[in-house]
Amino acid sequence: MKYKDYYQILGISRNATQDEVKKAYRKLARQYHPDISKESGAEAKFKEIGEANEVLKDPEKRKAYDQLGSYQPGQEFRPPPDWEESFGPGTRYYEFSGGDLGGFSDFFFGLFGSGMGRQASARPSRAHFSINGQDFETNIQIYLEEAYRGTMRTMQMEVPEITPDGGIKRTPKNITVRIPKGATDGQRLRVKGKGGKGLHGGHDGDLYLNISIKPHHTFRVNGHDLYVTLPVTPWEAALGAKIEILAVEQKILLTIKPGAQSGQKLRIAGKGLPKPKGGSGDLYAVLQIANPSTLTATEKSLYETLAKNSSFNPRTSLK
Amino acid sequence: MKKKDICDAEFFHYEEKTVSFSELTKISGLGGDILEELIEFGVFEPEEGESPDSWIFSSYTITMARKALKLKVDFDLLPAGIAIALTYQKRIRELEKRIKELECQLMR
Repeated sequence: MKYKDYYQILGISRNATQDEVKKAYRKLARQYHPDISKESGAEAKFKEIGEANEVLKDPEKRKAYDQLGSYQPGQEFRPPPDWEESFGPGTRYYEFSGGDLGGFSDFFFGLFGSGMGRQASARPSRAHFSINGQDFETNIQIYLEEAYRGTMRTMQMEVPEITPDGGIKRTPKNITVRIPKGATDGQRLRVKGKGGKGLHGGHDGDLYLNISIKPHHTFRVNGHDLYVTLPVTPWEAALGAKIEILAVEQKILLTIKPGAQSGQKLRIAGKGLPKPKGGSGDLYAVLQIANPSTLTATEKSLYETLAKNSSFNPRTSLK
Repeated sequence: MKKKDICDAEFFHYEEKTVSFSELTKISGLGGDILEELIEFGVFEPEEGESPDSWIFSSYTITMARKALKLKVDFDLLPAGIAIALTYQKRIRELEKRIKELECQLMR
């Protein structure tokens, strides 16, 4: 396992008071809590901060940690045998604050155990409880085209398992999941039984997949509805037109009625993304009247004729 | 790849299952007294029942209760603080949804 410098993680000196530990933790927790921060990597950082706090806030764990001495962060490390004899998880029971220990490092569990296993059998009142496995969750990005058809993803999960001596072993496992068609941006899917292992007859946890759709160059996704900007010429907007577009995997003929306005939304029912229980969302084409940036002599002359002959004034409300 | 090696991700609805008050306490890890306070603050609402013995919750409440436990442990929050944090989170989610809807309608 690799050594972790908990003091460095919290940005405090090794002789910091318990009050300084608390203050440093609070400040960083507020900054990196996954429910607050949208920064990438905030969740991993928060787990690291939580682990450092779990050790340094508890005088007993802090003392045991301090006894190890100081190493370079990330340095390969084994607790010395005399430390194991005096402070190891087999010799004493460490209290855990009851939060989410799932993200803690092998280093932490190597030093303090998991609060289960060997210690649990020494505390019979705990051993009788069945403990359900932890639920895991992970983020998966798919392409819009994959949302139409469904897709597969293989991911590597590190599943922590409690060893008979109360430690934690993490084994990397490849899991391939089939994502059904109908999944869309912001959807949460469940893979049953692929979370943490249950103990003493408890259920295995589930794996939750948070689906997001990669931004598409043409279509915007809102639930199962799709939005597309449809540029039209001023004369198509004025006179009406029939326009064919390719909506991901299907050709659609749109009818623009005469007198169409910029920003007007055309709803094409049932041409959005497929829904899980059948049917589909809608496609919205938002009209954008596009003018040629340079005019040919003929176009210019036609516009001038139009300007002379039209009494249309779009600014009556501004007078 | 063998067919059995592939796991199916499934759609699910939080409402498909319900839990009793005591189950909710056990599954979420939150104490019964804190849960009762959060119910008083209106953070969780029982689907049915007048008292803890008869309360029934949608299983979505489990997710919320776990979030509440995380806030309690990570920030040492009291029930009133947890209630405010969860209420703001809900409000932020609603606003983000609305922004997303409006962004989709913007022309690019």
